[in-house]
Amino acid sequence: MKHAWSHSFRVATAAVYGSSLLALGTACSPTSLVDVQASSTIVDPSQVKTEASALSFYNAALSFFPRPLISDGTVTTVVGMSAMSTDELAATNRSNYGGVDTRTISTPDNISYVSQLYTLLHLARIQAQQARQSLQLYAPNTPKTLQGRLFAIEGYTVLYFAELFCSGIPLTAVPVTGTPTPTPGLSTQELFARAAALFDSALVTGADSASVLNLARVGKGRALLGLGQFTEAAAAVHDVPTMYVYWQQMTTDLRNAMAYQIGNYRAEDAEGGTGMIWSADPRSAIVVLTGRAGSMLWPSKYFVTPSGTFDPLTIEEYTPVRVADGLEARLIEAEADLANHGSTWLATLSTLRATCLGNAACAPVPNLTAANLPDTLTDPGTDSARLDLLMHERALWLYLTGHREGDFRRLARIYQRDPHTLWPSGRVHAPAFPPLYSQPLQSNDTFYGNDVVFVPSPSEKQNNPLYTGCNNLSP
Amino acid sequence: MNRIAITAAWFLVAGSVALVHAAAAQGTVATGDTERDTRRPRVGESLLLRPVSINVKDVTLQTVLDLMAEKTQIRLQYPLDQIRQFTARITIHLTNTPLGVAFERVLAGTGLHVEPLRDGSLLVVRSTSETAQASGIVTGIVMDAATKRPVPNASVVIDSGRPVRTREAGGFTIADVPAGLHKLTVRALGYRAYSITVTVRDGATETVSVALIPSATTLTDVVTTATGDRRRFEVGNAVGTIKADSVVKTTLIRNMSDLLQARVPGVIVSNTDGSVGSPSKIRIRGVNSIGLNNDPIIILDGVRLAAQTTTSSNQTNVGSVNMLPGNNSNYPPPLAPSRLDDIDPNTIESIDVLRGPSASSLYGTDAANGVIVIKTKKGRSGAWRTSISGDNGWSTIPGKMPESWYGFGTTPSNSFSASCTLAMGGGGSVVGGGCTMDSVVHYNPQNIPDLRTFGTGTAKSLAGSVSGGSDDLQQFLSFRTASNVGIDKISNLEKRLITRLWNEPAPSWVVRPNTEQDIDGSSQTTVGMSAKADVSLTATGTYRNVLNGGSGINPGAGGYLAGLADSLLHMPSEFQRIKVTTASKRGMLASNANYTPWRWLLLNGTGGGDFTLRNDQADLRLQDCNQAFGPNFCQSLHNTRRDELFLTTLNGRAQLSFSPRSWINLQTSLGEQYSHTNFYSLGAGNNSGTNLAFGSNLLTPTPVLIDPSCSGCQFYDVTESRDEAATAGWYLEQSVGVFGLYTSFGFRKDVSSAFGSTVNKTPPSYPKLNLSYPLSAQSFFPKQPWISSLRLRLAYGQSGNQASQTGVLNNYYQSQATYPQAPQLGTVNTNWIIQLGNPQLKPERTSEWEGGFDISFLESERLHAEVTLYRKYSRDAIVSVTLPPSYGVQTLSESYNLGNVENRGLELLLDGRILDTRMISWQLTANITHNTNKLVHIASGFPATGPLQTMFREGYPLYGYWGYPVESYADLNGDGILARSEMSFGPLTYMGAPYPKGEVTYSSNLSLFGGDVNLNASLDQIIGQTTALQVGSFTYYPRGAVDPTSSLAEQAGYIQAYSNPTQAYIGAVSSVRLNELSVTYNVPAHMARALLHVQSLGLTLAGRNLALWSNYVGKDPNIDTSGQLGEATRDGSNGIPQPRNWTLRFNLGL
Repeated sequence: MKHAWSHSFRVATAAVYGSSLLALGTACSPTSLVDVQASSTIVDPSQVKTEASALSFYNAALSFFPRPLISDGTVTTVVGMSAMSTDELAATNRSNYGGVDTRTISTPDNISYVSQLYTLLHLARIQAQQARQSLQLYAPNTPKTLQGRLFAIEGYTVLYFAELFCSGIPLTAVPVTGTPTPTPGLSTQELFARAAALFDSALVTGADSASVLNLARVGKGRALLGLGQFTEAAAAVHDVPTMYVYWQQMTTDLRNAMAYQIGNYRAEDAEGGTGMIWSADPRSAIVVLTGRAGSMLWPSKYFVTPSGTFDPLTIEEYTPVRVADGLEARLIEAEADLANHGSTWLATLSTLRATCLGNAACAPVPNLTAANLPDTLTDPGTDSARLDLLMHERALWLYLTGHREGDFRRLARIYQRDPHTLWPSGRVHAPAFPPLYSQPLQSNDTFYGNDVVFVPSPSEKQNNPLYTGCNNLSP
Repeated sequence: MNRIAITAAWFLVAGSVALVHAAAAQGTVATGDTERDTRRPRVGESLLLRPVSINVKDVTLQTVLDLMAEKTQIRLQYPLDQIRQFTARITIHLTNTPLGVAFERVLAGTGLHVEPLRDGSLLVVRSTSETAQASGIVTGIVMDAATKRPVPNASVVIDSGRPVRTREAGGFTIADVPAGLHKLTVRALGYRAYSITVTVRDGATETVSVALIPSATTLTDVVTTATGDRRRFEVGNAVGTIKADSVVKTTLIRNMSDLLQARVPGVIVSNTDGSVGSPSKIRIRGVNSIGLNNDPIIILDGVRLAAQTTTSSNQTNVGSVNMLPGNNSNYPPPLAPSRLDDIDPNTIESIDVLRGPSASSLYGTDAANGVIVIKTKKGRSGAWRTSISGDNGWSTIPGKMPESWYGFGTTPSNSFSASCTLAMGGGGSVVGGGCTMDSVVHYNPQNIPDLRTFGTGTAKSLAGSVSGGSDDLQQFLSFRTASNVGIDKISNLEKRLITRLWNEPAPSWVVRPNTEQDIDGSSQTTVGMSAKADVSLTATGTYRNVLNGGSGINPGAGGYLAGLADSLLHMPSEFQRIKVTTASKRGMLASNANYTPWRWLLLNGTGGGDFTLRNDQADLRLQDCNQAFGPNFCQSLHNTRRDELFLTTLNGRAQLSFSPRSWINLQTSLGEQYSHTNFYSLGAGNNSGTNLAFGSNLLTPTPVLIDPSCSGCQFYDVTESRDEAATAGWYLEQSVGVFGLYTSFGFRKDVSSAFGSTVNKTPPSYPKLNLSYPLSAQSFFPKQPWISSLRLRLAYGQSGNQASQTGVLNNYYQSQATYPQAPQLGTVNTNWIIQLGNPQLKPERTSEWEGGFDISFLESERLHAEVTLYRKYSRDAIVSVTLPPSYGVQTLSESYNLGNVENRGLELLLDGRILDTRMISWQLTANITHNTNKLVHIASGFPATGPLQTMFREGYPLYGYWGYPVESYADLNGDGILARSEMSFGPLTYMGAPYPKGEVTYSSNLSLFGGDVNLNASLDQIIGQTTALQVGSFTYYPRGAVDPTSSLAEQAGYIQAYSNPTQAYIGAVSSVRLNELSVTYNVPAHMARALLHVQSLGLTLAGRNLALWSNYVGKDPNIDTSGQLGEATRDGSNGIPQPRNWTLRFNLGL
């Protein structure tokens, strides 16, 4: 008993002394006590500086790109918003994208939609930039093509800014190491030029991959078209095969919004009085749905089954989207030829009608038949009508691929077309078909606004000390 | 290396306690070895407490011993030869004296003492020569001077030695007291300290009797600081103390939040919701931080607890049960229960609140928001005492809910029915004349019995405790089980509908979606090793299960009310079909060792851990699925998340005391504190999977299927996160008492994981200075009857607040991207920067000046006041700056040290015993708090905006509300309907602060019949609070939105609210709430014994939230549904008002 007590006493005494000694030890060298394991959301800097990490950055950049393009959870994407603001699509109700559809984009109630797209584009742009830097720094032995592809992706994000947004968009650089540098806004011209420069870099670093080369070529052609440099644009896409397609695959968490957000949009012939008659042409894949109170035009372009067949009543939420293809290359060539008063543009358009049928790679939808697509086009005779014809063809071939808003702006800016003849205007028509779900109806008493460009998130102006806002809201 | 050392040391401490405990248990086996250790007996204490009366004259020692054995019927063994050596004749008269005391008197001067044996006999043995020759024993009893009842747990100190605690019957014994003149001091919570001089003779026993005078001043209380227990008058801070033991017995306390609410000046407790299990927010002396949390830290028996009530990036112990599908802001997930409420209030002895850096600087980084120090109940030596308490309560929603207004009509184009609003531009679903209103209705389902979704909640608990032990081993054991049912329910109408539609009764979690079950147990053991050492061990275990399926999406939300105006017709059970539970298991261990090798040195070690395992689960059966979470998907749901949190504390302290002259006392404290938090979370869910066919009504002719090729597939998302944080520091404090002026000064040097060796090369240092001057104790203070005590105090200190690792370093997100189709078929690893870190980030530093005085008037300090003024200034406030989207990171914010924040305030405690007679006493107390908060400076170039309509502007409070006030309005076109164009708004204007400027708590305690009957009441007044009332929170539409006959003012109010970005009314709120009302009847002891054969019986009827007077038009002005998510106060769409509670409670003493 005595022994037990004595032992306990000694142990307790030792514990107290131990604690005290620890206190002294802590006092002498406390900093190492708090060198904790990094949070799960923090990657050890040494792990970031590896080839595997650089490749993970690369993978992230590729998976980020579809988000602003087409696969955000809503239609606030390049494809969706370009379609909404023009005559490609109309909203089924006023609470979803009604402001974009009715060209009241910059009003306080609607600004959030374009703000979201603005943010997503920068997200994809910066990730591509950082991934490229990571590859350069930490994976120098990986094929240069990877960097080329990232240059091209970054180029497309800048291109989308130029085509959709107002003049005056900042392109802040956020390096993967180092300090970000806020920047002032770049004009539309400067944005197109920056995009072309990025595509040039892609052409150099991506030289080993035909896919990357052609992706950059089409992007560069598109950028030069935006600058009105038609000859250079045609030269840029000259080597792109007509059957070339750069598919943007969907990831499981970023589905193709044009496929599964079926309740939010519809098609409308002659929307706003100036719009195209979409339903008469198979390239737009418009179907007529019947419902409780009438019929409704519904674009089913992305209703493609995994086997590649086209089924307007089956949702395939992972349908990929074309970012660039040979079809567009030929259309660029045709436009350049027409702008230069050449003679091949009509033949080019006719050839496309004869070539891009069935399941040909350049066909915009599977099983495209020639039934309603005569392959011989007639020269309308005047420059204006020729341009109309070319843009008509372009609109149908490139339906719901994010080109229409840029085309409208080019028509206004380069070809001096009156914006009122391009964008829908006048009274907004409510759909005859009731909304799929019990959501507020589009009012017949709404009128189209005058917005022709998208504007950055107000947060940019509030939080970027060098940014003063759009410098031009005209096309 | 250090982590290993820490772990080893911790186990060393804990292990030693276990060994000591084991040894103590072995000590109960008497060996009969007369050569055994001669210290006082450790067992059989109860034998020595038996009363004995002796009245003998001129007899031998042997005769007396035989007589005592005969009278007490105890077998007494003694060495006959030694007893016969004492030939002196003895005369002694004792009446009902404890046997131990009687033996000490009889054997005084013989060198003998008595030891109990395990077989129930007593043995007289010889003391060691050292003890017998050099020291004596001081024994006695401590009682209440007024009631003459024993005062247990009082601290008794000889000179500056180790204090001993009085036993349950008030007795104490201090052995080994050196012969000579000594000062004996007795202190007890709620009494004035008492000191006397005792003369100890060699081998003799001195018996003293101490009568303590109750004191309202609490100046003589012992308060806990970072450097140990200190007498309150030595400390220059105002320390708020809650005597939890007495509060719990006489009022309605269900959790820690109830215990802290409205009891200490400067402490504001906001309820986030009226649901059971919902957390509360605690703010002390305003808010300091913009970007970090403003929670105080919690210390329980010296060990840091994970108990923050709001989220922050480095305290990840809480979080919302964010497990509901979709991203529907109308139906946010319920808030997670606060871990603070895991603590059973029945086990708490007292709570000290250190209100700011002036008091908490030695707690270092993280203590800028104050420190709440909790002391648990300790065992008391003496006979084992058992107490049992139980309660049964009911809760209801007080009063009626505000009514909703609806304007029904049709659209002219297609004659669909629609919900119309007046043409205000954006208010309704159809505007601008697009809706023809044909009827206006107003009602609230909650006011219709068959539609009510608030019922009667219940609360039951049963608790028991056992306390007792010997002088060297005391134990306190407690157990509690509690069961609460919230007021949420489905309506009677819906109950019938569900039964019919589902062909089965609604499950219990649908019928009553908000319940809580608690099981708590705790053990506190104190082992006195010797006169020089003691060790204590506190262990608690808690199991807590909260079902919260309904409160997050309660019928107060837009869903139910909107349902009647919306064809979606969301009914409460749509959401309550999701069973959301949070089950937590928690264990806490605190070990504390004191060793006093010499009288001038105290070594203290504290170690412990707090382990929490929390399982969240959300389930939605497939057959219960509907379109509640979006129009275009419907799926079953099974989400689960498991969180583990392990918080370790290891403290060490050496304290040197030195008194070279009678007029000077010096005390030096050197110590370290280390806390380490490790959090791990793993979640899995199938939010994106099960494939269901939409109904054929959606598309014709063929139903649309989601991914028909994968029928029955389940896709699970797995998330994992971990976080680790640590803080370490050492401190030095020097206290000097000179001629009654008490000064202490010191500093703490700190490092933390966020600013550790790899990041910040200059760890912060926090100084402190503290002055206390009890003027009335000075000889020059005039003796007069009016001012009975006066003390001046002044304190200064600094503390900090650290950011998380993610505030300093880039925050990455690692995931996988899966491409379901060729050619990129497959899964790849992805990694990206999700948020930018700022490597230059420094800790926030908060400095505080505090000054004040304590004054008491009249005899026995009948009137008492404490006045405190403070100024708290936070520098380098960490601000989460919004980055422009062009920065291209997902989380567009980055932390910077940008701001300075000031809090100024006045705290006033007024306490008076209005009546103080033997039969009646009446005590009134007022706690008055006033705080003004101001953002003094914020760096330019980064316009820091707060969430929603709260903003950070220089010269205004943090999270201040801003809006566009209505300047004028007029019905210009005379149509009786106000349009937005007929109003003019002023510029963006400050509209008020989210936290109240003032809080006044009035408490009354009326004691009748000598304490047999007690009446307690408490009023809580909130002054100058501004709250955002969201449109749709209590009504889908207010009258001004839809009723053409409403006043222009009502219409203007709605337009003004709707013009705000967040559609919220912002208004000043004042309220007075009858917070508590209780009556307690302490059945007289003889009746208790006669009726139930128990020692004591108390019955309490208590009510909470019994009345409210307020200018507030929403549900409840004092709930804050921003809760864990922010500092802004808002009566949000999903908040349930605080229910009214009634509880009947009994307390039994066995």
